[in-house]
Amino acid sequence: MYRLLENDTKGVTLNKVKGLITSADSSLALRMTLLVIFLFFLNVTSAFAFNEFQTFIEQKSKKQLNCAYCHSHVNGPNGNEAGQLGSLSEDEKQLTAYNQFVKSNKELVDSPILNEFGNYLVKKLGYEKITNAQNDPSLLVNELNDLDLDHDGISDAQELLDGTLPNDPLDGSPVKLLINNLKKKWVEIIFQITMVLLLIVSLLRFRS
Amino acid sequence: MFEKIIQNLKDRFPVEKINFENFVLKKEVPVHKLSWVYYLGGMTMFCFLIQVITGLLLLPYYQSNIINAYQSIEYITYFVPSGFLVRNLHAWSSSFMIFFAIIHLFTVFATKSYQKPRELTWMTGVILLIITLGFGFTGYLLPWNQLSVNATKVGMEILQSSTSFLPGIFKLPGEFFATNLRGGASITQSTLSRFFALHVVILPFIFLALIMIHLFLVQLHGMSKENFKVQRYEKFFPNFFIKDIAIWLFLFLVLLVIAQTIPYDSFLSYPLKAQYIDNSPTPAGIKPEWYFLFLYYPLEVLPKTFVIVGSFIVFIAILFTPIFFKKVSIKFHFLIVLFVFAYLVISTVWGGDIVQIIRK
Repeated sequence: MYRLLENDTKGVTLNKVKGLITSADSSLALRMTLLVIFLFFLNVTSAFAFNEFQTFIEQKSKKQLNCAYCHSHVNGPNGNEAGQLGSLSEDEKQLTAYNQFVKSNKELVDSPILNEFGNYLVKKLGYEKITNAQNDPSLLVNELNDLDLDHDGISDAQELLDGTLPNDPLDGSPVKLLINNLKKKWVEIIFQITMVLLLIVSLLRFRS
Repeated sequence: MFEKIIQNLKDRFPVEKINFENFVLKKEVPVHKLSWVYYLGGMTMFCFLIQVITGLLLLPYYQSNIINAYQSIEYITYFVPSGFLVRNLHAWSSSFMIFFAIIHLFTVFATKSYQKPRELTWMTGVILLIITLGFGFTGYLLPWNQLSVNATKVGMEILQSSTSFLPGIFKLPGEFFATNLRGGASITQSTLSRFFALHVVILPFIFLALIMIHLFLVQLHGMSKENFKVQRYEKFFPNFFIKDIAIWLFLFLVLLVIAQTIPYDSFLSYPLKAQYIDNSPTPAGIKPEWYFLFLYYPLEVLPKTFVIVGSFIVFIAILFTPIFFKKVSIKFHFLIVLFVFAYLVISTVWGGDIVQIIRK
């Protein structure tokens, strides 16, 4: 089921890229195509991994992480397995290269080598900002400060510092999740407490 | 000699007490300062009931094959209505069950409530605790994630080497049990199928049979009162029973609130929760559930043979406590409980740090 969903997403994004290149601005499309072809000849595909971010998050959270924080594959983009550059079709390779050359965040598309958070990061900040943040990964924290991709009540910036996944509402610091979920579900919880306590009180009245 | 055996059997199984009057109408519970210990067994059983109900609700959705197991857990968590709550309740109540079972064992030991005629009640209780730990061990593998598979590998290696120091044919049982539990030389589909069968059919049946014997013996001999200053007696029906139900309701409320607010897996880093794929790098932080850490950390730093032999001796001492501790004073029992409890807390909470310090 997940594989199907994944394929669907790739299909949609590929069409989106093709649509962008063919319909919107023919001169831009021509430049884009030339750049992508140029990119293939230079074989710069390995430039997508950002180990600095992983090191930064590991230092802050004191947890050992892996590339699956932002990437589709646990070992990052370089390799031939599913979700890595070597396994991509020609269309998908163009897709991964495309984001590096667009200037507007609105034109960015989902890349098959990135996971939900990786793609979200690229779309929110733009490729240029992310590349700049390589030298100072703390910039990422400032940029993501008020965002919360998974709506778990913990900001993406805080999730970066905690080493938890910003795209999984069930992954987060247990204490922070407890506080946020109590805030979110307090009406249900108060109702449950009241009902159970009423039940207990009425039960205890039956003692002889 | 024969008469002595008959008398001992009569003391342990007073069949003349098996009637409605003794079991229901006249049944009384002693009231004293430590009356709260009488509720711990019931709380453990209530957690088991939650386990059964939530387990049955999870059963239609879980797929016990290595290709779909992980995805089926993800499906339950993110797509099945209330799936997250049911799974989280299952996970939390398993930990609560083991916690209450351990505290129950401690209080029975500390108050010397295992004395004649309750020796069999104690022994069935100890075996029930071992089966409960078995539930935890077999259930751990079912999500088929990095942590579960790698921790099971470690567990199986420990089991395999548990008898390897013995001479001749005595070294075979460890290898035999590990190979048969795994269904081969490594953790594969056979292992998952066997663990699933153990978790949902074999262990529950053994547990149910034993808990019926355990409860029957508790009913037969009544609550232990020998080592307490009894203030008065209260009727089991309805007074004690109603209080028992009230405590169960409160426990359910606590579990419900926790299950809604703290995902059980949130204590793990995400690489440990990822799907297990053959030959993928093993993430850092592989360790068993909290209730096995007291045994796991010593295995990390001390000679395996020493820990395994030591654990076996401790297990035999616990199982046959009514024989070995018959003449030991109640004060010494209390000291043993304090010492063991301190060890369990320190090894579970700070065991990892201690191991790191020793290794440095």
